[in-house]
Amino acid sequence: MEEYNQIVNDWYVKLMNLFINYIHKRLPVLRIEDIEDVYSETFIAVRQNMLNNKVASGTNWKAYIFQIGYNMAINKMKQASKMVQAADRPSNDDIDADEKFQTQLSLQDLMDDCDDKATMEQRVEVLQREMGYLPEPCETILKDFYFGGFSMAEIMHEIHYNSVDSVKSMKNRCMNRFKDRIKVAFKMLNLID
Amino acid sequence: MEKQYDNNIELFDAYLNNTLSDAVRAELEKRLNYDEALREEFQKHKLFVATLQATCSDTNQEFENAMKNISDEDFQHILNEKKSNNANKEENKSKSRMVPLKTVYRWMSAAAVVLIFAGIGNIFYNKSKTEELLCATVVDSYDFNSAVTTQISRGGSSSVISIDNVDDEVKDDYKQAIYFIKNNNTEKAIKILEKLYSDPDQLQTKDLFATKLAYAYTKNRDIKNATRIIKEVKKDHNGNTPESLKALEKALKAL
Repeated sequence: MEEYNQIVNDWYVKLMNLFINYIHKRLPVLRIEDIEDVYSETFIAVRQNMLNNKVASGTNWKAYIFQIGYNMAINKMKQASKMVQAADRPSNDDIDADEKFQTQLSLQDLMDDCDDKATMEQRVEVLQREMGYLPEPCETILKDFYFGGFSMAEIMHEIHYNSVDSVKSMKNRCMNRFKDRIKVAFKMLNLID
Repeated sequence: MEKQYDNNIELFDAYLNNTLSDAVRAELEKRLNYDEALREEFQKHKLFVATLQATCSDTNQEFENAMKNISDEDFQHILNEKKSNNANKEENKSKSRMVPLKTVYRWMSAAAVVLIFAGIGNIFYNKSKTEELLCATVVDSYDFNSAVTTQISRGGSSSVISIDNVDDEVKDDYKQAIYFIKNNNTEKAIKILEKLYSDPDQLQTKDLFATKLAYAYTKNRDIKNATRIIKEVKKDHNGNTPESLKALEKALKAL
């Protein structure tokens, strides 16, 4: 029970700022307090949908929360009858022009394609273990980008960086550092020459 | 190709995401056919991404299970606790949660009971509310951005404690702790900072870790441990409080 509380609490806290920035950027007429309300209402709705089996198990929950939240924020804005000047809002094109990674790769396919399955399985095991030690902000950047489907601009807000370029270069540094660590681990386990 | 993408990682990502132009895609595929090193690098990148996604899926599943199994009461508690610091808003909410009684007599007897308990409860409520506000004020006024730049002055002397001279591993741990504090994950920060603070090899930077640890405890509303850290540091300084902890000590004393 305690564990469930901790997990839900961690997710709730972790996504809050990112959510507020995400909605504020798209719907700047909404006040931050209103977005905070939308955020908790979103969590209630998401949980209700999960309990009622309205969403497929294994859905990317982070992306789902943001989608539901965005729809709820639009409804809130309409309810408040606030006139929104289209020109004041960034268009979806402007927002989405930023680089996002949306491809889902199948680990199983990659393993199946490999000639030496045992080695491949060991490599995956090492990779998974090393991922547990990803330092921040690398963990947030890499997971948000490759799994969460968030743009560099959105990640920039989450980790409090000043520019998209600095997030990009941090992402590259994270990847390179991670690769170096993996290389050492693979060598120690004789998984590579 | 070189002009558009700073490195192979970006190029591979764009390829996997299907966002390359036809020409660049064809060129890359050609290179992947004859350049074994590039092909290997690409395979490793794909393996990394697939493993990362699979690992995240596990966490995703964990969240789904937790959301389905958490009790309504606990779930509501999390939402209420984190929603806003606006005291009036919270008060209005707690009023709206009150159950109305049906008869005047029941109202009167209930009111009498409530008055007695309110008198007692108010003492604790006010104290915890004050604690909460004070902790929040102290923590909010503390500039954690500058904390990452990693140095504090030692009380009573002009020397400065800097994180720059310690091992990379310690530096990374410290920066990670500061990141956790900034992102309200104080429990994780405390875990790291307690380890650094009690590490006998880090005596030179002990005050720095103690300062951040005391702030992390305060942010976590754990006055007892915040005070403990300050007392221990004072003992190390023959009863004097380091400059970096004076404001916090003053605020905690006021509680």
